Amino acid sequence: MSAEEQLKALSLFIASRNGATDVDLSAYRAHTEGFSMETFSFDAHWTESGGEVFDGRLIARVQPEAGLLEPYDLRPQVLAMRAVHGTVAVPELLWFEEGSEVLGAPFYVNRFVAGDVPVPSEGPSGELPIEDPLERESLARDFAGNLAALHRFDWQAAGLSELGGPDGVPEDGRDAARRVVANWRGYHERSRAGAAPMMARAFKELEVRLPRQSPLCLVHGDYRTGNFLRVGGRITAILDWEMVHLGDPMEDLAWACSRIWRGQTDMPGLLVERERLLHMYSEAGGLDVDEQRLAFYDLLAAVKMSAIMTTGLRAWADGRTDDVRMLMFRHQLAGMQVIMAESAGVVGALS
Amino acid sequence: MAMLDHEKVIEALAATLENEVLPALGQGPSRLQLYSVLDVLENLSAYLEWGGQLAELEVAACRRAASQLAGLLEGELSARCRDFAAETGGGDTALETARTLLVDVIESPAFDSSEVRATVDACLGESVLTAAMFMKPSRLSEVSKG
Repeated sequence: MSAEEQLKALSLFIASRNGATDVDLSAYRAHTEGFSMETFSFDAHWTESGGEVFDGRLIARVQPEAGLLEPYDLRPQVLAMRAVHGTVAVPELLWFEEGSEVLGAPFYVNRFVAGDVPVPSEGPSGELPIEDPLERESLARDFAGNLAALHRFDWQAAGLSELGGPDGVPEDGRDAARRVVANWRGYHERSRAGAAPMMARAFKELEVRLPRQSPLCLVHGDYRTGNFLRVGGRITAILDWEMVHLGDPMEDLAWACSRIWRGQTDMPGLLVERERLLHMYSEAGGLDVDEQRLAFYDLLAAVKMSAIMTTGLRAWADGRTDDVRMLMFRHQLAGMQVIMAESAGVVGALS
Repeated sequence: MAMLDHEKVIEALAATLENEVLPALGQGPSRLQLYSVLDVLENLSAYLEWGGQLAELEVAACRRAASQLAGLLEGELSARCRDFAAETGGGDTALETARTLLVDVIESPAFDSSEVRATVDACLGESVLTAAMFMKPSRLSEVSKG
């Protein structure tokens, strides 16, 4: 669908949903920051049946056919974002359409939130995405605070049991860990990447390190620099809820602290040092930090990223996406294997 | 076309894209795709130059490990290790055989033995570190900005 066709279809959709008249959508802009969802924003104006006028900018996220996290299902992220709105910095969600009639695929629309997305990667000369240390400190505090609030969120009271997945709510943290390993093993196997000894070694190590006990909470699943909007030193929205599920809080912390997002520094997400971030999380009321479980989920982070990469490569190889960015993963897998080898204790720490 | 060295061809393509095409593009999907193409081209050049050698180094590391593992394992896995250590062939087939063998050892009960584990880990460590040495700096920061 062209931009014009998308806006026209959305105009009809909004009119039918609100009984709105005078619907005018304009100033379309495609957003290219993300790797999976098709995202675009637009100015919207309409008059509701009660006479109230809406004027504002909205953003639509459309489920892609193929990509890094296929098969896609928007429902869990929509449920989570709606539930935690007001507790965690998330954009207000206006509509969720599960059918494909309007835009050719399921989508949701939320209010546009101002801000830019710092990426967890240094520039060509090693420059940090956020140069000002005070700004990094402030962002890290917001980052830790939002995560603590998410982990403290009462998902049972909010009726989010569905986020336990098709097998229902995990029995406990060990069951959740077992499921998350099985989930990423499934991604790896479906990507048919050929015999992969380092992945096999990592899965073996994960079996050995499987946590005995842990609390269950709402886990974002992709909580890191690159997935939040900020204005100056303040986070305005936590984005990319595609991998939200019920699990161990250490899963988010380990992902956020992984070497994958540190560049050549020792700062998770290129924000602040790991110990400082963990301290901020605790100080903000986060759940107890456990280094053993962090080590388990740190290894899982490398496994997960490798499985995401080979899934993207498989989608490209099978002709289900023509996004050339997927091809970058072919050589980046080598770096991921080093991180995996370190986390699994196969080689000593290199940095 | 033997006079055209593939590395120079790729360098020329990348330079043209970066110096002539990129400045003409605005922000957005086209720019992002072009950065990805540049990233892939730069690494493709390294792969074409070193890829074969890299595979040979990995197979050699696996043969050394297989030779040791043959004495540590029993039954069919031991025989497969002995056979693989004695082979001399290279290329993609040898690489796939080597990797499959390692995976089978890792997934076997024998991997509980610390000696077996240490032998496999030494081989894996050597292979992943060697492979990473050939990576070019990533353009992920440019790609992510779009």
